[in-house]
Amino acid sequence: MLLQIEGVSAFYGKLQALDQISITIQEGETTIMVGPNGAGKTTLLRTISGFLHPASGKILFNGEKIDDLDPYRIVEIGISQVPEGGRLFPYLSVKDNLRIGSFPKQARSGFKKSLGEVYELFPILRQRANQLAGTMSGGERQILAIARSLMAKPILVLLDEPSTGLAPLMVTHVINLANDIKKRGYSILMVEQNARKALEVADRAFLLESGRVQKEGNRQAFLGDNHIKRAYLGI
Amino acid sequence: MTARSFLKRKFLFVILLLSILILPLLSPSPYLIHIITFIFIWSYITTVWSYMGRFHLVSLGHGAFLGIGAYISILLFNDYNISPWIGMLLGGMGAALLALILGYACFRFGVIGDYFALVTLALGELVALMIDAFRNVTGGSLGMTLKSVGTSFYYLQFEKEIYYYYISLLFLIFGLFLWQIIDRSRIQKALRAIGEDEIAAASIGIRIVRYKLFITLISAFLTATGGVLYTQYMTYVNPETLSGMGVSLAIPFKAILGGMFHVWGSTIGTAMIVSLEEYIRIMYGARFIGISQVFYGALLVALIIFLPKGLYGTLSDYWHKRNDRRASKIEVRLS
Amino acid sequence: MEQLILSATLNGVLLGGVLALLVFGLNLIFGVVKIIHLAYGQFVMLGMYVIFFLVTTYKMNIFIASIISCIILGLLGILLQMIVINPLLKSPRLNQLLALAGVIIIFENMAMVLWGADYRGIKLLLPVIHFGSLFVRTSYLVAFIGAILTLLALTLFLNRTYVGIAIRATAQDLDSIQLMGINPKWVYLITQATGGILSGIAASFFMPIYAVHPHFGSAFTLMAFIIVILGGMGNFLGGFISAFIIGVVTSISAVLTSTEIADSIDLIIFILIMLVRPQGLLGIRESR
Repeated sequence: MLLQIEGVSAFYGKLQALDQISITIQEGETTIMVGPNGAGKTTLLRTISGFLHPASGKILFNGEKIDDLDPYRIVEIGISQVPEGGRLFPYLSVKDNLRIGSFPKQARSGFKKSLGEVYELFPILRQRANQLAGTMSGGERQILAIARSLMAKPILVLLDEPSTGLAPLMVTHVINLANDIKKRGYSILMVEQNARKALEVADRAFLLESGRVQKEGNRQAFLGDNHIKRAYLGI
Repeated sequence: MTARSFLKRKFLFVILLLSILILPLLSPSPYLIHIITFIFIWSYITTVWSYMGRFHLVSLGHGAFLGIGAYISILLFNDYNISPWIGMLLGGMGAALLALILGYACFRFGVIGDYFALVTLALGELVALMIDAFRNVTGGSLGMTLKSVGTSFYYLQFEKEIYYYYISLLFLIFGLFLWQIIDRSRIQKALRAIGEDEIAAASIGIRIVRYKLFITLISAFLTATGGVLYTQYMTYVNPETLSGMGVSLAIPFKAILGGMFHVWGSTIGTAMIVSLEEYIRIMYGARFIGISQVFYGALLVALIIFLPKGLYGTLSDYWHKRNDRRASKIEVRLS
Repeated sequence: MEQLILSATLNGVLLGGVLALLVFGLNLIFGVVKIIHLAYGQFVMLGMYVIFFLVTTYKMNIFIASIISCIILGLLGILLQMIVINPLLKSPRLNQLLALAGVIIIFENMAMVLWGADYRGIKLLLPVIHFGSLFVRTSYLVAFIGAILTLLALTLFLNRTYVGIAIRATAQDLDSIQLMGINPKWVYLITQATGGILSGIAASFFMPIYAVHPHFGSAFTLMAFIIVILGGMGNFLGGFISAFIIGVVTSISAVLTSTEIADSIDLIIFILIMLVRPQGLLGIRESR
């Protein structure tokens, strides 16, 4: 068990965003979280990454309690997040964005090697190495954001709606990147509105509605569920 | 709040008010009367500053308005025998004019936040510098002394402190009263919306510039009258005490440390800081020049860090928490 | 007359160099920590006092004194961040500004207590260089060259080093920086240390030119902020250009009229720009 979320409830002021969430993420798997807008998916990712602290419950990573750590510590431990939209540094070049990504101690000495791996996975970045991140297209930015999160040499990668704002062809490409990344040994937790495409790369999945886990299971279980098919897969 | 505690508070308030009114008649030390009058005047000035401050229109240059009011009034009086009451009117208008020009330019171009604060800071310094530069007229950094005409209500001069005491109190009451009026008006709602999210407010049709200008002009005008009041009381004015960075920064200090968002906050803050200043000055001022100020500055910084909501705000929070706890205890007992 | 104005222009440009340095520090701190460092001028003042003290009391070489001054100010910047600014990071802007105003009071009066209210200066008789019929003061020339070199070094630092890139990134997106495993407080400390060192460098250039006194900081703070606003808050290029404009204007006005009127002219220009283009010549970089 890589990541254990046990009975986590989280609030924005008085507003409850997460209600007794319990989820386990297994190592080496791609876990997908689906659900409607406002269900709490992004909130859950923010909580894992330390931007929000749970009011109750706990989060364990490889057995260690991490729910009271600052966000930068979470990255040092091995959990990287690609926030929605990528949140690149617009006035830094592609290369500098990647360089910043390898700041944590475990990643710094291996910068050149990580850079090579990332260029191999995403060749377009090598072409655009000196271009300002803010001037790239949506799809390229998303790829850069994912690459940047890998530069930190994480164990678990959190992806928040990587398909947002992308053209359909790009969406498939980006979501399928999850498989490429998984093959390199990373574990993935991906939040996606585009449930259909996301479930195709899933090992396990969770359905989040109104801050609660409504269903969990493997890919088959989800693809076979009628409620999910109608509500989220448009079938 | 229960009916009982409401009455209790009103009762305490009336007692306080009566004591303040009677105090000078009981002939306590002139020093005490002086300090309290001082507190009244600066509470008025600070409260009037907070008309803007509470809506996130933070001005670090109100010294400009104090200075304009004071110098216009004293020059008109010393040279032309014009009553300071008229001086207040003209000085206020002068300050309002300056506020109009600068305010309009800033608000139209979306100069807000600390950028705005910085611009006002420069404005305060500019007025101080101008006063100094035209020293033939204003006496420069040596200041000007008010021509003496004995006791006269028309000329706002009295030989006995007690008159200043009550007049300053009246000004303060007026300032607080106006605070409440604004607080209950449509203006308050509009300015709060602007303060929270200007773009959203504009999109629902709130005329941003108009409302901001309105509150700025009022604040500038009344601040100038406060400057005149101060001049009449101290019978002396110089650019250091009534314009420039020092006094311009001292005003928001008093407002914040008292609690800028409550009607009494500025008054409490002023009382706190003036008392503190006097205490430190008496205790340490004699030894090394400046040591007392070092303590004073350190204390101000510490207070800002540890009392972010000001004295009133922090006490008010504590009060509400206590009431919440009491209420929940009652709930438990009832259920 | 023309030669006088031309010389004044030249000296103004040279002075602009050091002003540009000061403004760089202010813009850096504003861009990264998102705070207006009201007490920056007082840092410079303290730096000058330290140099004065070391040179006159310990007969130290002015270069070594300057280096020590830079180190002390760098540490002071870190202290300021830790003690005053970090606790207020989540507080309203006004509180942060006022806390710094309190720091101004502390610094100025500390200087008064330690060194008195008199003007303190170092007697350094440096030659006046003549370019044809124009004259230039050596101290100004040294200051200019030093400032430009420092600015170049800073640009390299910010563009080529890990730390420098981290600082720039923090200015662009605070949340993302944490996602890179970087502790923003650490970045703030480095930025403040850099700002402190910069103010020390400015102090060492000012020492041969000006005499220091407890209110020295206020005069320079105001001029520095006028330049910053003129160039657009947070805009490095704007600040750089404005520094030279103000340097030249001040220099020429001082020669034609007097220093006080020169200061007033600065402020008037500032007010005029505010009325016509408040966002500064080159516009504001959005911070919050």
